[in-house]
Amino acid sequence: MQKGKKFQCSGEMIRTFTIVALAIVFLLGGGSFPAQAGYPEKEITIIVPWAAGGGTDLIARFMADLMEKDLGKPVVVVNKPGGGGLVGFKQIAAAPPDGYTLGITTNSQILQKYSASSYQDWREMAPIALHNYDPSGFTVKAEAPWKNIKEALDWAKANPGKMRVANSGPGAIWHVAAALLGSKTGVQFTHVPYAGANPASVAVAGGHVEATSVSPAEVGTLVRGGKLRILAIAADKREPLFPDVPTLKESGIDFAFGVWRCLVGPKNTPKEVISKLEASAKKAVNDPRFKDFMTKNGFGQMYLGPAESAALMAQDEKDFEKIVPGLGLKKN
Amino acid sequence: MDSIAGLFYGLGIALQPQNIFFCFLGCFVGTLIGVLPGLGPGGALALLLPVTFALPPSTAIIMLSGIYYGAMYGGSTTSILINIPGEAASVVTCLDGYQMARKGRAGPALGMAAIASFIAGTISLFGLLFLAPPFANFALKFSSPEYVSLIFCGLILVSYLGAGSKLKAFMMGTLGLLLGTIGTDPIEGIERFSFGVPYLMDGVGLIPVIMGLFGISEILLNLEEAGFAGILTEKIKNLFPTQKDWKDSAWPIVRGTVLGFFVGVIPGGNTVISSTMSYALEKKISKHPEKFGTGVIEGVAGPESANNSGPSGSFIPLLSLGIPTNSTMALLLASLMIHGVSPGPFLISQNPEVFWSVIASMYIGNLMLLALNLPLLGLWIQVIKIPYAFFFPVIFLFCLLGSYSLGNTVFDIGVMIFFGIVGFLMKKYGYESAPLVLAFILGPMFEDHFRRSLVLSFGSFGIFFERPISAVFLVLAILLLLISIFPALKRRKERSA
Amino acid sequence: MKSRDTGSSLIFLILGLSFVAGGLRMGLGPLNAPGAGFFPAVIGGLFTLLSGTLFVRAVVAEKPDREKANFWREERSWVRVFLSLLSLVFFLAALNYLGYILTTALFILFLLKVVGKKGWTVSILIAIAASLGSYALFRMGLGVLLPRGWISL
Repeated sequence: MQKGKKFQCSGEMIRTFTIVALAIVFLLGGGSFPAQAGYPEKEITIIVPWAAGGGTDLIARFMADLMEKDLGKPVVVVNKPGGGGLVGFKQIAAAPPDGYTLGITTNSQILQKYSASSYQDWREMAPIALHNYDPSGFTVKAEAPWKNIKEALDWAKANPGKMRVANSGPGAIWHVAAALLGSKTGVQFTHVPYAGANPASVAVAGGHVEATSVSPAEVGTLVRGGKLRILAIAADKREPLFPDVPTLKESGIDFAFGVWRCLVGPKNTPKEVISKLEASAKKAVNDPRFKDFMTKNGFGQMYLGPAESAALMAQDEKDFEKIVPGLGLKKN
Repeated sequence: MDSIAGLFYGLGIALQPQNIFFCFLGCFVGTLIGVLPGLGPGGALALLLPVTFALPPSTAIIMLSGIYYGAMYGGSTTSILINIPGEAASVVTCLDGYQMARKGRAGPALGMAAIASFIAGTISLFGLLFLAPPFANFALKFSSPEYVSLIFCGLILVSYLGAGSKLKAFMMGTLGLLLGTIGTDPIEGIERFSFGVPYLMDGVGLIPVIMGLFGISEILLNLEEAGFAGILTEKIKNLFPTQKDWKDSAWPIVRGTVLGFFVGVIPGGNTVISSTMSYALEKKISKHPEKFGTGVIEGVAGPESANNSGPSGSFIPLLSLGIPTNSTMALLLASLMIHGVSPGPFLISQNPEVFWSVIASMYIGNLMLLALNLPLLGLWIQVIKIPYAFFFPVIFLFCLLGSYSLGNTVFDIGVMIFFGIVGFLMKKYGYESAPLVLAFILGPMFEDHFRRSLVLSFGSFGIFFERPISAVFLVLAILLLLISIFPALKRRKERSA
Repeated sequence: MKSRDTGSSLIFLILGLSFVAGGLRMGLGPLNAPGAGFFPAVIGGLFTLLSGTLFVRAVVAEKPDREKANFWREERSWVRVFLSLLSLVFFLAALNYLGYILTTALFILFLLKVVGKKGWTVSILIAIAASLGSYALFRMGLGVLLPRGWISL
């Protein structure tokens, strides 16, 4: 430009300037706009920290299928097993908080803080929708001599250490459940760890252990097959699939404990994205097909939104901190 | 409904066009997955599970079973062609199968593997049909002490596999046991040798180790030659098994089938144990045991029969009790559950169409796989003939892909490369990889059951002897030990005489 | 072979001892309720013993008459092996940054051109075909999620 010439504020320049300015403002300030309006724009991944075919995986896949129909974009389940869920938990927490990578977690994540050598802090996640709760059960062989939970516990009290209770893994949720039941009732069990709920249930059916503390859903097949009998469940209400099984509360033992499963995202996932996801998950959970699937397989149904889930997680953390260390589980 | 009537009823359903189509689809996909190293039946089933949501239960299970069988067949193909087991049970097939391929006898090896698998599958299906109920209850009697004794037998046999120095084979077996201790302790949940790395919390991954030790190291060894001669050391002879091959393989097939079936029935009794046992058995009985490891067909026929009759055996506990005996069965169970079918004693009465059509389609599946695999022999031979310089990058790529696809992490790739180097060095220094891998698989299982047995028995060692089944296996194990030491003792006596 | 046995058995001996040490640190536990350290220590001990036996055997053995076998089969063998290993490590490192397709193409190209000593055209064509083809097969055919990388290829 020639030196002497003054700038002329032509209309054209003003227009250009305004457009550029608006564009900058739009890009900077309205950065969330595209995400909000268009979410989801591409495929969503749900990380399941356990092996394919397990309870958590199945429920997640069913839910993902329904959410996909609702959101109109693929919702894919990816299994990342390992470390009792830790590998998957860490991945979920480390994922970019854009709403395209989500995960499933259970209260075992919080439990790990007090029962394992390393853990993933639940505060690094943003809860979206808690969609299931399975209580612990007390299941024995069909031919066992005890007619109800009281008889079983009386026998166990009279024979300390003789009652062998199978669980799904050392330090896992059902081990803790059995240990808590023992401490609540003053009974000394011998806890026998197995690699999962299935081997544990089979061990009871084969008569190698006396009982197991896994959930009704996990023993469902063998119960229906006449090999096992659930004496009681650690819940507030009876399970619809096993209406004849009393709760521990009904039998005079104030103990309710179980596993819950929750859809989560990484910590700073935008609020709008979470609301959208929650709405979709809620729809899936209330869908009759989902309800039917859960009931038929004995999975407990429960629903909590983001805020309530977070509150439950905080409460669980406090509870675990109080009771788990005393059980002497953590070895490292 | 008695067995024969049921079979015909099932055939009627299985032969419906829709079911035949999905059976074929399953077999095809399964073969593909078996051939691609790394992605095993478990991964494939998990991927295709959603597809089956829309199908009626029988069809879904038929397709999934087809995938399972197909993967078994396909796994042997890569074992023979490129020394990479498609899945753990095919490790043993690598030993002689690959050597046969190097000698230009890939055709007979592949052919016999397919045919042995078919015969074993067929015979064991009849076993399944008639023996299901009593065997299901037999399966329940198995608890940790029985496994300890059974696996102990397996571990003793592992050292039979080595072709070279017995001491070195034993060392590698022991090393495999040690590698197996890395990870979370199964009874107390304590981290062992994981140095705080989350990936190692469940131990070193089996598939990356196998791919590295067997596959990558083999390629590195072949790359030493500037001429890129590749795997063929001799010209290609025979496309199909010869008459001599048939004669040699007949009894191994029978023995392998029986062995595999019984081991498959046992919950958790897996095809690794049965194929190892078959190989060791054939080597022991053979008139020329020193030839094992250089490419004898018995070393392929026996183990292949064992690992194909195993699945039939493992369907028994699944269908009649709802007890899955391995992770693939667990997935099948899951898909049954999704379709609202409850396996168990009532499966036959409540959903007869599922039970019988699945059994019938297993037979059809075996037939289809034979029909699929035999014509492919010619294709595979051509594949071997591809100039190695073009061939090896592709194998590398499939190994990399396969290991990555396991957990979507590059960590598995790293483990694979590491063990590729280790395997390379091992071959150079004269150590065998097979005992290492097999001990690596069996070791953790042994420790898990051993320590749990002691918890169950409240600390008493008597549990292993007091329980009849366990006692039987223990006696067998002692016999095996004696048989293996005996020749060495005899030789020493002869030498000093 | 003799020197190889002495060397390797020594390394294994040390490895065995580390497992024994690690096992002891974790605690052996009482014999009828073995702890986490029991198996590593006992098996480690066995391994150490075996390695020691091999070591002694190798040291004491007569030196073989025949000429010492070379480690590498051919003169330049180590070059190809080393380069291939390098390319594998490259793949490992670059996968999450460059994404699957680009990493694979480069990987195959390198192996074909440098190790295989093939021409440029052939190598590039096969590299592209292999990376796109395998992507199609695994990603779309089998639904395996392959990394996108920064360049989102």
